[in-house]
Amino acid sequence: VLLLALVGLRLRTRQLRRASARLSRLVEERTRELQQSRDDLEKRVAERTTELEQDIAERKKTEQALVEREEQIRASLREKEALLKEIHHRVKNNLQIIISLLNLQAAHTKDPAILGAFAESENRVRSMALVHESLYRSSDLARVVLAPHVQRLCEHLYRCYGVDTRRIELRTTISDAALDLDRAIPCGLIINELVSNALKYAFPDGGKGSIHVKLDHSLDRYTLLVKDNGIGLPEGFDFRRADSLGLQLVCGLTEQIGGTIEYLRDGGSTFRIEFGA
Amino acid sequence: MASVLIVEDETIVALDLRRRLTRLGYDVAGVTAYGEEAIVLAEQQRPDLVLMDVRLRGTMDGVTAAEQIHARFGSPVVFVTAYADEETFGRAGRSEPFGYLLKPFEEEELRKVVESALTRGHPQGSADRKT
Repeated sequence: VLLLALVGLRLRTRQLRRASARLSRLVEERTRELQQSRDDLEKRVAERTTELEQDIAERKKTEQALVEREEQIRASLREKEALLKEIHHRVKNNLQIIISLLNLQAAHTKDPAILGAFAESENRVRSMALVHESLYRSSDLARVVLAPHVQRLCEHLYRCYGVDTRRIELRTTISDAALDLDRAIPCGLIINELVSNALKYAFPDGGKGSIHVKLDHSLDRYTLLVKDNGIGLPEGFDFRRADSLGLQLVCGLTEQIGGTIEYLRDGGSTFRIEFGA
Repeated sequence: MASVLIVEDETIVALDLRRRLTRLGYDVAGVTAYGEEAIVLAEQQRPDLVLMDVRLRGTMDGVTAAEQIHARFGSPVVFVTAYADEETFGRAGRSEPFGYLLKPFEEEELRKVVESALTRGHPQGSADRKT
């Protein structure tokens, strides 16, 4: 029995050794495999890192280029704004020179009709200058809010025609919408002419009354009203065929801004001008 | 009769100013387009008021000329300019201006600003200044 047991044990031991040797080989093999795959992984990580580093470097370069480009664009925008301001400034200066020329020339005459014609010309130039003034001060150098300029324009006309606002009351209700230059200047001139006409003709013999200038806008239309409660245009007077330069300018400029004009006799005179936004 | 020195680089505008001021009853002490010459004229003529354009011919601008004239001879200075931006107003403000006249100016504005600079003699901007 002992012998049998001994033989059995030896057999078992040999089996175990073999098994152990097999296991050792297996472990070695597995270790090699693991080592290999770790090396592979490390290599891939290193490669990917290099790739990413290149990527980042490139991106940084692109970003830098973008920042530089943006700075260039900003600088050129600033330059453009400065140039535009300079142009408005020069325009205003030149309009001052024109006004000075008219004024100097007017000094050589005493004829009230000629003096009046000079004053009217000066007012027209001034109405244009006021639009440039508003533009020059606004942050948006392409569009102008008419409100402050219309008030100043009318106040100037009152002074020019020697009219007190206690005699002819002045009301301006101007929407805060901004107009582009192509419409702001004609619009200013139209107001200039219609308010001048009202001051000159609507209230004869020192009569009292009021003038109301109103600019409304909806999504796609502007409506300009110049309204007075004076004597109105003479019966049968066709303002579209008038001899008066002022009314010819009003009709022509309305057409220029693609608008329509109508005259309403409603306890005075109302000129209603509509044009697209 | 109060005397006014005109410092303006546009000949036509200077002529116009001279004529309007004369008509308003002022004595024109001189006309120049240069800041340096303005200082010399101010010293010789001691005008009661200087009308000063901001942009001038030569190297000195109106603001600098005004600072020197005001500091050395005490003459009040009214700026006449087409500039309406805050920066210029800020810079001009340091030379204690006695008023501003914005181009294109109206005779009424000219009369008022000159009168107020001469009589009240303390800093005051024209009505358009704050907008």
